[in-house]
Amino acid sequence: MAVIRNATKDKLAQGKLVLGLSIRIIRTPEAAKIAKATDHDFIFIDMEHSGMSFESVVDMSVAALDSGITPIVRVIGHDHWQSARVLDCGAMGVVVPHVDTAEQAKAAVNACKYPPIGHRSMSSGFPHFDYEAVPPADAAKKHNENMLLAVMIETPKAVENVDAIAATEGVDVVHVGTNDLLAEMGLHGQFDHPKVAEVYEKVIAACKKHGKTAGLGGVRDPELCKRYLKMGFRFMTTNADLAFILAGASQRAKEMRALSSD
Amino acid sequence: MALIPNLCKEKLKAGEIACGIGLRQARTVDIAKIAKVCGFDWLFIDMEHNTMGIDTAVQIAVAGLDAGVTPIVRVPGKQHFHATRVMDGGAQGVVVPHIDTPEEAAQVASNCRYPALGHRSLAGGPPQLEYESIPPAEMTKVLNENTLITVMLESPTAIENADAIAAVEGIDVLLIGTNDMCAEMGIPGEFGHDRVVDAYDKVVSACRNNGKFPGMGGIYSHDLMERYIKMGCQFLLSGSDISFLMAAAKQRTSFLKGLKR
Repeated sequence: MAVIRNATKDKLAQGKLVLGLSIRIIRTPEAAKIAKATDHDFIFIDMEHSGMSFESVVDMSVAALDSGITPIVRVIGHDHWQSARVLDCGAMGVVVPHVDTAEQAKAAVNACKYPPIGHRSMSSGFPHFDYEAVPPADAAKKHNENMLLAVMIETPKAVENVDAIAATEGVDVVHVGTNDLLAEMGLHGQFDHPKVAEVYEKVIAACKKHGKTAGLGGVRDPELCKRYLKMGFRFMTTNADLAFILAGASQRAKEMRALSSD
Repeated sequence: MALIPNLCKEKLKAGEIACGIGLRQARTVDIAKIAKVCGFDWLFIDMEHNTMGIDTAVQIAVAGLDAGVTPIVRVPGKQHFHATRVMDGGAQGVVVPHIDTPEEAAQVASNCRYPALGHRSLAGGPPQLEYESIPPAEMTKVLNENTLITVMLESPTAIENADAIAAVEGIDVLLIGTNDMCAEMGIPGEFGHDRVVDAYDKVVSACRNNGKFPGMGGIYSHDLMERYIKMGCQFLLSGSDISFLMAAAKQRTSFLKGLKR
């Protein structure tokens, strides 16, 4: 049976840090090749904050399988079909945003994991298995083992409930959406605020207690990344394609402008 | 340097056959993986006989690179950009249809090979090199070596000129478009006709004399495939997505309708 491994999940199982390239403006299967060429482990295909269609998401996911880059999709909402459709067609992981309660975390598990863990509906002809016809019991077991489910903590309410959320069977990563969380706390953009570290401590403690991975989201400043990664986060994105283009392009334009200013 | 090998070209050089699947209906990148899983060596992404857009053709090509199935595009025409845009995007070769003369073949080689072999224009960091930025002298050399350029011989004139076409530097494969060739010969569909056998004989020896690889297109009956492969054809069009889908689908409906109720 040809099963494509979830390299990101494998690395996390060894306690290593995994890095994702967030995809917001790319629409071609080159996304994974670019992520590979720039030493990432996964692509974080962002449907929440982009206008990309299911078709583009799935094209990028299928190509990533053969590139050795784990395709993980941040879905738009909590409806079961949002996760199930991308997982059926090539994604190996789902990030569900704005999960505030253990009930919502359980709903995400139900959408993403097959019975007995959840209630995902069975499809066939999976690119993850090189389209081999796999007996349903094996397919369900392998998919359940292989797929990575991350839920995002983005409100004070979610932080309050983080222990119960982390305790939910089937959740692999508890990922802090720091940007939205700070906005909800009335601290827009204050990534170095002392309350941030308090929240992170709470999330990391809950993850340790329940054998889950803690994910650091939204923090881009290198010094802050260093400080917070030391706390125990293992799952993060480096930045978005758009941000890298903006940074690289404006840097180059600045250099060229400087050349001609004298 | 991270070069993705041209597996099809390697097989041809090793004297093996290389099986290609024609893509007419597929429009998603899954087809690259599917072709690989089914045992094909190369993708014949067809832009001549369907309406596939260049964007789709290139996306399938890029996916083919990492799937381990060599992406080759049959371009719709002879203008340089037909070939260069798909190769810039990710294809590891092109098939140019309806080439009748060595002059036309030389133009194809000129369009598709970087200087000093030809006059293809340089683009930056291609997916075939994992987007690595390498010195142009090295990049053009490596890509010239790892790209497979095929011309299709599809008329009596082309067959007459086979030896001169095979002699053109920069052309790797002479592929017989048997269907069109038979139509042009006034023997449409007679794929086992003596004149077809003669044409294969002529093209195979032209290739042998010039260190090129002969190819077979349009032949799908097993006995004729075997015959022309035994004559020396290596670069093979094995069928298309639509033909395989229809064959399997017909078999299934026929089974179901044949069941006693």
